[in-house]
Amino acid sequence: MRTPAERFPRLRELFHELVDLPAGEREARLAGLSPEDGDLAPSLRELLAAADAPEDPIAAALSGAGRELEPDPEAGGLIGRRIGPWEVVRWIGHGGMGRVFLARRADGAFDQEVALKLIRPGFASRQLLQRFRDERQVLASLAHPHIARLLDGGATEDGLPYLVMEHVEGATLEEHCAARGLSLDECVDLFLAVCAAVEHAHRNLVVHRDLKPGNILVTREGEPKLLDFGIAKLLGREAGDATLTQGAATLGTVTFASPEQLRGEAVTTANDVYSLGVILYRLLSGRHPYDLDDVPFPEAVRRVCESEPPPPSRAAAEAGDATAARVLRGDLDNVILLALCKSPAERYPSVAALAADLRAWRAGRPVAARQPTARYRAVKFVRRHRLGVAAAAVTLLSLVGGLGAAAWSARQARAEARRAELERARAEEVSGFLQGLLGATNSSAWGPRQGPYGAKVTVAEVLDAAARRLDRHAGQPAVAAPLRRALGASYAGIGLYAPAERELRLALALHRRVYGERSLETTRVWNDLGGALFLAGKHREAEPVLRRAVALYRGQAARRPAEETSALNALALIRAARGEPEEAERLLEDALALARRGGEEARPMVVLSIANLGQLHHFRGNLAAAETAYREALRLQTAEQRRGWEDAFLKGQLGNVVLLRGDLDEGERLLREAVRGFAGSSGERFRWSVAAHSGLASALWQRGDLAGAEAEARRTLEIMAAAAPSDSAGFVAPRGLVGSILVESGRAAEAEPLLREALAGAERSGNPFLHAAMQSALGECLLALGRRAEAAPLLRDGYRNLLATKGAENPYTRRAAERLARLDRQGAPH
Amino acid sequence: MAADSPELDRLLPEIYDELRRLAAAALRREQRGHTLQPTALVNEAYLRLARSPGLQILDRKQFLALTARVMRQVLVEHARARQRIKRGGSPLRVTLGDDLAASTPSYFDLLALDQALERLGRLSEQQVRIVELRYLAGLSVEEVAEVLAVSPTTVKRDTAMAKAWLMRELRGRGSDADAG
Repeated sequence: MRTPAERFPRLRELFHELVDLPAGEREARLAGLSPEDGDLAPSLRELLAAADAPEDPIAAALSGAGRELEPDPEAGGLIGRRIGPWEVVRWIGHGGMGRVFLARRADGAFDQEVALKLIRPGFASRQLLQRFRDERQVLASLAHPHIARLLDGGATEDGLPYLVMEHVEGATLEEHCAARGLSLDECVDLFLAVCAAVEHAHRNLVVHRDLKPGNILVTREGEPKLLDFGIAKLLGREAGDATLTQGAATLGTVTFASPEQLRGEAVTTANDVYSLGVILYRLLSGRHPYDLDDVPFPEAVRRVCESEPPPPSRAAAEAGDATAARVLRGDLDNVILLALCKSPAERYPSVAALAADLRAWRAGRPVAARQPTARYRAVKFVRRHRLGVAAAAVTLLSLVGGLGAAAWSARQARAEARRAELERARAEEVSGFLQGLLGATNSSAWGPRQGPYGAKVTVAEVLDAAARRLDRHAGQPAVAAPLRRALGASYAGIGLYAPAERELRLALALHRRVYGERSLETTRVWNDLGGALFLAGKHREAEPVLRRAVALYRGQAARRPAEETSALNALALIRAARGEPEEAERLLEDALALARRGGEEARPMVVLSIANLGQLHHFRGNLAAAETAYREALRLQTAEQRRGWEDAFLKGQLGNVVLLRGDLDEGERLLREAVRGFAGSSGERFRWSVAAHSGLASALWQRGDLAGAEAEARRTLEIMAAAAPSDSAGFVAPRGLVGSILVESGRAAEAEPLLREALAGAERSGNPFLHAAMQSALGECLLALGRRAEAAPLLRDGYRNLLATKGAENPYTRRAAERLARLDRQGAPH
Repeated sequence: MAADSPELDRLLPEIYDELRRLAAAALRREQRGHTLQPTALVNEAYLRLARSPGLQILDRKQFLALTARVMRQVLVEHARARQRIKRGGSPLRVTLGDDLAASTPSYFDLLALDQALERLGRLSEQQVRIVELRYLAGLSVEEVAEVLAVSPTTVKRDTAMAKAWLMRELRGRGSDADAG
């Protein structure tokens, strides 16, 4: 008999095999268990039966525990106890700050029930009491029929601070409106009463900071009451609230926090304007402005700080409330969205202004809130058109791509990028947007029909025109800043790096002025500029800029893994190109670790970082590590990458590695898939298909299909011819391949000129590996032509240099050794 | 929890204490919601620790595994504390009244579950880790698969088996007592 531990692995195997089978098949399989598995049948049956049961014992035990967990075991001990002049009656609830109890005067001096908040240790400080005394005056000034009064403050015998507030019985604002079935107008009226209370507090210089539906109760008489006013101040949470950014925040807190609170910036009355906007949005549309359900925390923060909420009318329509959607559309949409602007300066200047607009709407008068301002639209536009990750990511791969040869030459990348596919649609959109934005202010000069847009203008011309127009309308830095950035990104997108650099440098100066050096916006421009310089091959200039971007990203309240890793990848490839693979690897590992922590948004960068690590291994001849990396990158691809060029690219790289390892079948399959995946691509990506075609040529060659191999190899030459000048380094390997196949086919005479061109190109590239490989290939050709004296030094040098650069185990080295052996067998002159 | 670097050894207690504190706070907060929402805990813990030097050297897998483990310990400690209080005849019984009587068994369920998980751990470390990551760190099947570097199908089937095995354990061991 085996012990349970010994039997478990087999039991698990069988369970896995059977659990998803239909009952009939399962039974048949159980009946047919082999004798050595026979003793497992009863357990297996039991487990399978249990697996079919709908209960979940784990969830049951845990949810029971969750339900039962007392806020803390001592809570009950307080009931009936005296705290200061108050007697604790019962526990009411539990908030972020601590426990709340119903209490009454112990001396019966007056018969009023109050809410006593026992502040949890570590949350408030010993200064609370002092603050309460200091603020007594201010708190008294908060007396307002719609504000729950703060009555007392003190400390328990154990030194726990507490606050005593007017006890309000009622439903929350949202519950109240829903339960009473209030109309939109009635909801707005109730909300106006809330605004009046907040206005009153603001006039007395008290900001609530934590307004949310749960803090607004409506009494049975229909009067709203705001809870917790003045608490933030007492708790010393006034300036630069650290509690949110340093992580005491929960998802619940993020839901109602303003972008500036999440960014850890100064919080003013504009914060309450924002919170009121959220409350009104929810009240009228029935939805929260942002979809934060089941969203990881960093992503929730990002959405609140960056994404634009849909107009409430659309939210109401989606929620199925057509009436509300109709009423909201237009003015109310504008009012609410103005309150929800990301930047405090863009919102209503005060709660009073918000309330005035709402009253105007109630009276049927026009509201002040308009369609978003030019600046607002510019920022929003640019948010949709980031150069950032995607564009940089695309081109990073190309640097180390191909046959591992292109990595050497920055000149190369530049020459090829210049021929890159033009992103016409995008550039025109930028330009059209500029026209709409600026043309309106000066239409005589830039009317669309008289403008420089003929039928056949290039994208570059469109961008140039846009840039000139922007130069002329330099008035508003806040508008120009994001537009300069968009223009720079567009130029970079079509491979025009000089104007890209100019625009991005101007954008950088503007951003520093408008947003400040350390702002996220400015950081992003550093990153874009670094990316553009890198793509332009200006590695020396790119490096400090990218470093700066990384340092600034690291100083942000929230990390931006997707963006920061883009800069890290560029830095790594700069090091790789400079011949510092260890440093490159370290940077890529850093990028990978960071991207892995970045959630779904950073997943493309996880894939890219792994792919670049793979290429680094590939390039250094560590084929096993390269293979592992490519496979992992393939596995982790996002759905978009799987459909895009990445899949073809990775399969091409992997296919080549697998082929070098000697697995002809899998190699060929992968390479064919890669070639198929690249079909229909164009521009730079089209050029990357060279690696797949040349790998496929090698595979066919190994199968003995020399005609097929030659056709594939010649395909690589055609692709290069369409993509780069004939003297570029990218031609070396394709020419070498075609030449070698010709030699093998007994057509050495035809091969010689090709291989000589290849060798010359390799010399120019300064790549020792390519040079050595071409020496050996030409040597073989000359040997086949019987010119042994010419062949011998080439074969010997080629072998020696390959041995030095790639080691003895590299397939190229081995091939060179074979050729050399052939020479020796034929009795080479020494 | 693999602690394979001396640096990690040094920083672990610090991270661990912080996680414990957060887990306990999360549990208290969730008290009103009637369910555990471990995802919020993981997110909160991550945000809180993201900038501590300790976390920089923990990768995501280690972090999640650690969080799930800590969550389990905190839950069990709470349950034990409650059990003690009840045995000691604390006034809680009076104040909580009917609620307490109605749901008394769940503490014992939780302790029993913990013990059953211990036993399962001797048979399959992976199944226990899957249970912890799914139920206590709140990860999806796909995320667990990624963390453990196995296929989602394996995660699903191992979850099913762990559930079945635990159910049998919790109901009193089955006819074939030594099977597991």
